[in-house]
Amino acid sequence: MDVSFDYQFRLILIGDSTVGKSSLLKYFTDGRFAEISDPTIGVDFFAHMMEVKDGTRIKLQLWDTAGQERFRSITKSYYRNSVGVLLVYDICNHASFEHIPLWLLEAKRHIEPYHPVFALVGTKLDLVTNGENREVSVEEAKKFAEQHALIFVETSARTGINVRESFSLVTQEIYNRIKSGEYKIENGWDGIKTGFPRSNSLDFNNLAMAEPVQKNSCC
Amino acid sequence: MAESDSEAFESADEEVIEKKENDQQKKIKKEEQTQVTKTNDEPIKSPASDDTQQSSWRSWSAFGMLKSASQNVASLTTHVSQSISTAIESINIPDPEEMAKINANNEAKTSTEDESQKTPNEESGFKLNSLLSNVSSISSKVVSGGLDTLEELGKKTITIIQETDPNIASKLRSMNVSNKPNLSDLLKEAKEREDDELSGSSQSKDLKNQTVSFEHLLDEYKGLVYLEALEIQSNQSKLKIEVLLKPLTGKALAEMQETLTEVEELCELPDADNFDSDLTSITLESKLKKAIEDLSIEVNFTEIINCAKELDQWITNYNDNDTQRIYAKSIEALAKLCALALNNYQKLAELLLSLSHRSTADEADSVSQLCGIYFSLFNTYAGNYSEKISQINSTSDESKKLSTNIFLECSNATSYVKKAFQLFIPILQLGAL
Repeated sequence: MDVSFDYQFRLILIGDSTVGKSSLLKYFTDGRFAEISDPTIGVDFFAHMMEVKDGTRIKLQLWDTAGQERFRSITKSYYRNSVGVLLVYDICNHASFEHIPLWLLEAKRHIEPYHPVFALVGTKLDLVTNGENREVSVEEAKKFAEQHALIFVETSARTGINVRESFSLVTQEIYNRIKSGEYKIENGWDGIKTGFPRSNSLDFNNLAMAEPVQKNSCC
Repeated sequence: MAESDSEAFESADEEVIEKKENDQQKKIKKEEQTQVTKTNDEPIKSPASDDTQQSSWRSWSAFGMLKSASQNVASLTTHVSQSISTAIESINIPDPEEMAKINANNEAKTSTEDESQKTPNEESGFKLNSLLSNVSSISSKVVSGGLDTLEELGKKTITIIQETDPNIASKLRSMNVSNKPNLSDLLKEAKEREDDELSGSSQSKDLKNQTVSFEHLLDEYKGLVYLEALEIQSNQSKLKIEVLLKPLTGKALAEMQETLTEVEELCELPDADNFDSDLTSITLESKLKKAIEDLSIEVNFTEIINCAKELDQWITNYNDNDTQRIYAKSIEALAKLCALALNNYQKLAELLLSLSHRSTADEADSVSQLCGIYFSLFNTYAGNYSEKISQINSTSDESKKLSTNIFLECSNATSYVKKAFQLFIPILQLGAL
């Protein structure tokens, strides 16, 4: 079991209920579509290992928040330690897109003074490729994304299209910002943490002291 | 996206709250970071300890604690081994004072013996070997009797330590450690020393590499992040309570503080004597359902019940004689059960906080009942695995050591759930205001 990683990023998914946040995550972590019958309560957690372009291993800790109104004040308190935010809307539900500016504002406000990477993620693309049902045009979404400097992706958790991309784009961007020195690992903020290599061949006594692995450091 | 009730409830103070919260969370994060980086052979720490405290604990214990602990454990063992069978049968364990008196008598009787034992140990500084051997002999005796007896022994030991060393409470306070040290602290210390001592021999190195880290597994099963989420809600509730208290003066303030105290009193940790050690996946299901039957919410216990079912099957079907394998499985089981228990608590907290009408007395009762069920659950499985090991080999030091470690990790799991239970208090208090 190789669980070593160089960094841990905490990402949070927010957006209206039933847009498909949990389905997106299930596809991402399990590699297949899962019918989800129950709405998320509060927050659920997923973890996934990723490699960025230079081979650095990133552990993503994914916070899947409930979209339901009644959990709103609870989920707000989970925003703070996120370095990446996926703003999720349903391509076939215009109202869910109309609420994106509010989600964005709310996230910015709670994560201040930190500036996470934001991505705008449309879901249920499989429902529109057959022609109808689309309520949010690509142009409309793209324009909003450009205005607010968001990564933009349309996905389907049924076909799996662009699911991995949406997470890897965010991950790569966070990593780039670390490399450029814009992001730093800070005590008291869990958005980014350094990991350490762990394997059975290591002397466990030295493990806690182990320095984070430095790779191609350019800073 | 209309603002919810609970959001409207938050006033302009919110910003201030969040600043405070940030500070608080910084502290918590710091603690958690320390905790997450803990590994196998590092001393296992209580969630609230940090390195400085740990080192002071270590140095301090080298001077005082271990010495007096080992002496008392030694004399306690003499007493206990005489009366353990009756104690188990009657379950009527004498209260600490009586125990101390009997103990004092015993000590007087065996003082010559004790003297001869003490001398070489005082020369060597502390009496570690005898503590270790006594701990393991206690554990082997107790395995069949279940963890509650072991816990009981721990309590008596601590009481006696406190009586013989009146300064112990202030020592502990000054270290900012809970002023009620428990058995697990003693066992942790013992395990740490034991590992240190054995690290020279090659045999123990093999053992070391095979040893499974409870904390690491707990993290793998997301236990730590469940606890973190619960902690966030707990702090949030605390801050909301502060905001509510701030404008109050005089009688209104006193009344509200009284309510807070009342709720805190409702939140009593279940009595250690009432833990079962014979839960099965079937009784577990009915007990969990019963614990929350008075609440107006549904908590999904499927995962923890399924986990218990799988563990039952494994224990029944495992026929090899590999004690190390059983040991590894036991730690994995305890970590998983503990993580799922923490998950249940986290979800319960979120559900309760989302309600517009709260029923504090019922909530406190449920939270407390659940706590007792989780403790019983850990006891049961620790007992099951340890029994499995002693069926294969009940006499070797290796088996005894494995059993001791299983019960150590069991009490470790228990202390995580205790922490979660304590985090619940502000969440319940907020509901009563």
